[in-house]
This record gives sequence, C-alpha cells and structure tokens, in this order.
Amino acid sequence: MARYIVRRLLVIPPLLLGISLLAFVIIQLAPGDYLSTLSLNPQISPTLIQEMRKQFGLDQPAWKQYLKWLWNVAAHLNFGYSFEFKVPILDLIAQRLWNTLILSLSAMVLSWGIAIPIGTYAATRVYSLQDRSLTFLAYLGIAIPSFFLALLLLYLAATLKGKGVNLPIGGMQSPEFLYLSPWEKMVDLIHHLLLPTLVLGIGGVAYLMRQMRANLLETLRADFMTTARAKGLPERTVVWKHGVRNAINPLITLFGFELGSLLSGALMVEIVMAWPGLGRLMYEALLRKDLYLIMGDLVIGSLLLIIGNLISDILLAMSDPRIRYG
Amino acid sequence: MPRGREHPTLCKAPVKLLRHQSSGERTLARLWLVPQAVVSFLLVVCFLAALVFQGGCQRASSPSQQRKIPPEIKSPRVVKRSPVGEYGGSLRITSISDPKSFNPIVANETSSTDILNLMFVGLTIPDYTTYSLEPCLAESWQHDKAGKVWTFTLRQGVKWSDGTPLTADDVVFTFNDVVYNRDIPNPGRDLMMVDGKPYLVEKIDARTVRISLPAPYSPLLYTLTQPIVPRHRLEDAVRKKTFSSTWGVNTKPEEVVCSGPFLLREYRSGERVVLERNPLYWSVDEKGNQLPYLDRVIFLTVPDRNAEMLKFQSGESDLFPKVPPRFYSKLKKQARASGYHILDLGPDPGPRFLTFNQNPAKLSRAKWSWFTSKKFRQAVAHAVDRESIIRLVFAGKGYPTFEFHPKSPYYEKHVRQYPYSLEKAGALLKEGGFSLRNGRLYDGEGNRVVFTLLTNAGNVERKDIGQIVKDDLEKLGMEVTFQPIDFNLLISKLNSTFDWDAVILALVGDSDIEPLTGKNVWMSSGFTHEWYPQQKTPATPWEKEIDEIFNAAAGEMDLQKKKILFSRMQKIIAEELPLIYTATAANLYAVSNRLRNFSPAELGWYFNDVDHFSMLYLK
Repeated sequence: MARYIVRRLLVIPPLLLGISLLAFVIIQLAPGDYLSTLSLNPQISPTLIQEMRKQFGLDQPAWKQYLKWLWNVAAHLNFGYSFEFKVPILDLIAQRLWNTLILSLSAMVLSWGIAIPIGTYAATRVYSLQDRSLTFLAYLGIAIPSFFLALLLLYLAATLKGKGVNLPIGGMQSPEFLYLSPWEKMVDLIHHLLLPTLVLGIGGVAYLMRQMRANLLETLRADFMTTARAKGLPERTVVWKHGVRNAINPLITLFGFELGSLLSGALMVEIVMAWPGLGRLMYEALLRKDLYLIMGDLVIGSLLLIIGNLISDILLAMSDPRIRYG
Repeated sequence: MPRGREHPTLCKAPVKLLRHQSSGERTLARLWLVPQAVVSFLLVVCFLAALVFQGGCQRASSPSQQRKIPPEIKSPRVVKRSPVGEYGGSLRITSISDPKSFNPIVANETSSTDILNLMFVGLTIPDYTTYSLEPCLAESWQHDKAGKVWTFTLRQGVKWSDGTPLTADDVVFTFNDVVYNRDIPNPGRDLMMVDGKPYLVEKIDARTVRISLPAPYSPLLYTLTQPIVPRHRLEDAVRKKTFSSTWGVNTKPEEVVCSGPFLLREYRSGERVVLERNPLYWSVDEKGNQLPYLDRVIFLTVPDRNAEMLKFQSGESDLFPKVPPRFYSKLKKQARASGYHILDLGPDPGPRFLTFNQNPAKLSRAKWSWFTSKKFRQAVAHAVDRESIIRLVFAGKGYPTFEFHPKSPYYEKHVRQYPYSLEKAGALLKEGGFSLRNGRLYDGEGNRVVFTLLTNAGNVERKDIGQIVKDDLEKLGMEVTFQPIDFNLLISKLNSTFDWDAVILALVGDSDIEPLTGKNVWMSSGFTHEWYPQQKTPATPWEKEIDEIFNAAAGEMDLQKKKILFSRMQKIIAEELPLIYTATAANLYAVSNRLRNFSPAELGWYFNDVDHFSMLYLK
C-alpha cells in the first residue's frame, strides 16, 4: 500500500507540468493579453502600456515567461502576481478557497445525506409507486441545469421577499456582517448557505441516488444476501450491514471525484448566486486574461483533483478488502 | 483492516438457497427510520424553516446628533451642493465588479476608482453644478500674469485619517516621487506634461506649494484633482520600488490612510467593500455640520445586471445605478408599491460611434478612396436610423450622442446635423462619384462597395446596433458583412495590424469637463485617433486644424476663448465625420425613496461628485 501511494505521488509533478504547459500554450494562442483592454482608453498611452508590459514581464518571449513562472513555482512556491489585483496569487486564492469549501462541503453533506437513504429506500421497493416517483424526481433533478435552478430560486426568493419568506438574494454574508455578534454571524452564514446548498446539492442527490439504487439492486440479488436472511438476521441488518456496505463501493470512487471537484464544481452556482468562491475568481481571471491567476487556479485545482482521486483509491482499499494495490 | 472479518463476502460461498423471492423480499425488506434520526431531522428542518421565515439579522442604523468638525480646522470647506440633511444610515449600492486595488495612483478602472474617489481628494475638485474647479485641499491659489507660476495655500488643520497632519510635503511627494516616477506606471501622468515636461512642484512652507509650468496650461486645475497620497505611509514603498503593489486588495483596511469623506473599513473579495465616515473630514454643510451625513457606504459585488435588478427590487440595495433600459418598464411598474423612483438624467456621457478606417497601411486602394471620401461618410451618417436604434436597442429610453454631452459647457449646438434620410444619403453618394445599378452600389471605377463592419462580441448593445446599421447601409446598395469579434482581437486590429474596414465602438473618458483629456483621440498623433492613429504629420487639412485647436486650447486660460476653439472643433468634426455618432442609453438611476438628496449631475459619473455623495442620507 505504502509503495503504491509513493508511486502515485511521484506521478504528480510530471502530470502538473504537463497540465500547466498545456494551459499556458492555450492561453498564449488566444489573441491579446491583459493590457489589450487598456489600450482603448484615451488616457492610457502606448508608452504607459509598454512600461506596464515590461513591469509584468509580458514583453519577453512566451517560453521565457513560462520557464520563469515554473522556476518560481518549483523553487519558491511563488505562483506569481495577478496583473489585475497586483497581489500574490496565493493570497487571492486563499481568500476564496475557504468560501468554496464551505459551500461544496455543505452541498456534499446534503446530497450524500439524502441520496443514500433515498437510494436504499427505492431499491428495497423496486418498481413500486414510491420507487417510480423517486426515479422520476431524480431524472428531473439531473435534467435541470444548476444555473437555471439557481436563477429560478433567486427569482422565487425575490418574489416572496416581504411576504413572510426572507431569503437573501445571493451572496455569502449580510452587508452589515462586520457589525454582528459571533452567534448572529453564524446564523447569517447558514441563512445565506441555504439556497446555494440546495441548488448544488440537488444535482448531486439525483445522480447519487440513481447510483445507489442500481448498486443496491444488484447486491440485493446476490447469494450472500439470501444466506444472511437464511441465518435469521433481521431485515434491517441484512439491508444496511450487508447490502449497503457492498453497494457503496462504487460510490466511494465517486466521492473521490467529488473531492477533486470540490473547488471547481460550484462554478455555475457561484456565479449566479454571487457566492464569493474560487470559481468566480477563475471566471473573472479568464475574462480579463489575468495570466498567472489562471495558471495558479488551474494548477491548484488539478492538484486537488489528483489528490482527490488518490484519496478515493485509498478509501476504496480500506472499505473493500478484496481490493489490493501492489 | 480489522473489520474485514465481519464482511458479508465471507459467508457467500457454501450456501445455495432459492435464488429469488421477489414478492416476499419486498414485504420483508422494510426500512425503519430510527426514532432518534427522526427527531434530529425534524429539529434541523425547524431550524432551517425558522431561518427562511425569520430572515437574517438586520441592524438598524443608530440615530446620531449633530457633529462638529475638529476645532483646529480654521477654514472648513462649506459645501452647498444639496440642502442640509440629517445624519445616519448605511447606503447599499450594487456593483458588478470588485475593486482591484486601493492605491489611488495606479488604479485605472472604475470599480476601483469609484470607491477611491470617496476616500482620496486632490487640491481642487470639480463643481458638478457649474463644471468649474473649486478649492479642495488647497484653500486658495494665486498665479502670475503669464499663468506659469501658481502658488497654492493648503487648508489649515487638515489631517490624514490616522491623525497625521496633511502638509505640503505630501503634495510634493505625490507629484515628484509618485506621479512623475518612471518606475510607477500611472494613468494620471500623461495629462500632467506640458510640452513633454513635468510640472515643477516645490514646497515653500508647510502650507504652501508652488507649481511652475514651462508654458501656460489650461487643464492645470483639472489635473490637480489628482488624489494626494500620504507621504508618511508610502515613502518606504517608493524607495523599495514596490509602490505599484502597495495598498493592494490584501492590505489591512486601517493601513489605507486617506483624507476624503469616507475611509475603508472592510473588504471581502467577491462580496463587498464597506466604507465608514471619516471622523476627521474637514467639510461642512451651510449650518456648520460636519459631512458626510452617511455613517457607511456598502458596495455589494454582484455577478451581473440581472442580480443587481433582483437585489434592488427585493430591497437589498438602495440604489441601482445605470439601469439597463430593458429593465425600465418592469421597474417602473412596481416603483410606487415598492417605494422607489427612477431618475432619467439624459444621455449617458461618452460618445458611441461608427468609424471607417482611413489608414492607408492595409486597405485596398478602392476601400481607402471610399472611406476617405467626405461625401461617403456623410451619406452613411444620413443613412443611420438613430430613432430605430433608440426604439429597438434601448426600448425607447435612449438618446442620440455627440462628441460632447449636451450639458457640457463646451457643447456646440449649431453644427451640421444628419437626420435619417435615404434620399439625402443617395444624393451625397452620387455627388461622391458612386452609382447605383440594380440596387448595388459601385464607385467611380466600377468596384462594388463591399466591406466588413466589426464590433466586440461581448457587448450585446453594440451587436444590436451593428445589425441595424448593416440593414440601413444595405438600403444604400452597400454590401456589409457584420462581424462581432473577440474584444482583444478587435483591439489588435485597431491598434497594431490596422486590417479593418469599419467598426462600432465607444471610448471612455472625461472630455466633457476638460476637453483636452480627449487629445489622444483628436490630435492626429494620438494613439486612440482610431481612424488613422499616430500620424507623423496630419494627413488632411482638417486634422491639421484640429491639432492646432488642441495646441491653442492647451495654452488658453480664458474660458470663453477656449469654448470658441472647441465649438470650431465640433463644427469641423460634424462636417468631416471621422466618427459617425450613433445613439446611447438613457442614464437611468433607480433610487429608494429612503435615500434623500440624491440628484446626481447629468454629466459625469455620480461617484466623481464627492460633494454630492457626502450630502446623501437615508431616512
């Protein structure tokens, strides 16, 4: 196991190198750079733009820029400066990372917390009315794009405002958050989390519930289930201890993927619901061609995806003794 | 894996029973919910429901008494911009972008400067009712007869927000060590050069600064609106050459020391900026009450205009600036019931136009001859149906644009007009040697008039305008390919490769108050002289005349004479039409009825009007 983990860890640097190189090349292929937008402002002269270009190192050939960036990352863990904000990339990402994590984790808790019981419920009542209606709802959940659901809920909240229901229209904190007591701050945060969590969670519920149902159905037909019943175990133990535990293995792989997408998966919801997360930062950086911010975001996002996969593989090995890594 | 032994797979092998008991299994396989789980689930649901219905926490603004300015300020600035108001309230404004820096010298886009305008002020300040420049940090000034040596006296007793006195050293530092520093690229510098030389800024004593110019320069007072920055806080950064990244968005709010009506209290990236009133601010209303009236200004960062609309409609913001015309009728309907009103302040400042490439570098000879033909451009101006643009693109809430805003002191009404008329357009084309055969337009040498019209793809408004213009021009027999392209690609075509025919564009700037800020657009050597930028010598006699007008205006201290110069310039451009003006949205503000004293100037962006802002209050 340890050897396997070490081997997996060794693959990470070349993988990241490839990702960053590819990203850099693609960014270079698009026309213009961060300063192009400024050149249409009559108050910003070409000399000033030249000075800035020099200051940002954009006057050098692309390969030199890349190697310089790579050296800074490898040797000093310095991901460079944002052109737009003129502060280190890691500072910007750190500000947003936490927000995205809060949202993704709460959505994850919601979707797993709902999906597994519902999936189990549906599988144990296969082809019944309850199963069919849950399946229908699940397909509906998969079919509605998250940005659309987010918009829908925002409009709903705006219409219902002042009619008893008081939900915030996007954002993570109230404007007067700074002046609240710690308890009020927590309540305020949860209050703001409700809608985005719901949107992000529902998509996950639908998908996970279908997976859970299918897996459990397969397990329920297995011989060992019959054995378990035959030796007189109560049905609850049979389903939960023997059935669900076996059915959950493929979901652990999914969990790993979700860990990886914790930072990027909420992009749409963040943009629509004004959640100040990493996704929005990345999106804005892309629009403005803030080169190193895009690179930093990509590399850190990829790193998390790789680690997420690794964790899921390890978790899988822990939960299923049939799986061994050599 | 200690629990592996219990694993059900181990009991799989030996037993073989009936394979399937479908019906029995269904009845057996009941799922019981544990009672404790039910209880905790219900608790969570109750808690969430309470949140949904109760709502978040709202803080009422504290009522406050009269505030007097610190006694050491002997001659406070008296602001008469709005009627005397009351104290208190926090104003919530939506913004679709985060500030990028809290450094007032290097900030170059409005999401940063809007906020910094309320925190940093200069020696002078524009009065947005008369558009003249009034004393601000400088309490008075004199100049010699030639207008080359100016002496400014600073207001006594003014302090930075950390309590340090603001002196001539700060002024000298701002100009000599920061603005004119070659290591600090900043947008303010270009206009502060007279014949390529900087101002000579010297300290006479703690309250007196002398500015000497190589030649008289009429935009001097305008350029002195340049925000003054604290030397004691920024000196080190200049010495260490880290000034451009100083006071970035990762700075602690209390480190950003300023002297304007508001100071920075909190910044949350992607969420909001909170400004609080500066208790050391040195301006008063007519009754001697210290300004500003508001306790706080909160800028809420939202992703887009739709979100701004939702926030405003649901009462989460007090002000919705620059309402897109498409929202107008919807907002209007609910205005009375929801307690807000909508102000229409006339055309949104800044020209919107269509222009043809007149740069011979990349054009074919035929195209170059059309685009440089005055008759051709005039025909196009007659063919653009501005009424349709206003009706279709701006839902009726729009105005035709001109080089200067109609409220600008420099606006000249009596220039050649181009009402929509296909007959006039046709006649002009004929005069220009073009001829129409089978509904197709040909030039004198028999070339079909075919060209591409570009604009940037991101801008919906311009895309719609382009479509209308294309249809209009095709009525004249031209064949127009309309192509919205990526913004950066468009810029590189305009500024470096020059391979374009026609483009729909808008330029930002503040030329309505000081027309010389437009010199880079209008002088033939200018770099945003889009139709033929950076000419060595003027290509045409009229461009030469405009160059002369700008050179003369720079040295013209008499406002009346300066107005005459610019009225001549407007007559030339209306005749020659290097830019063919189209139309723009109305400048609409949706304002909560609780917000009082809100009457922004029709010209210029309301954040620039610091005095107006400092007299706002909420009831």
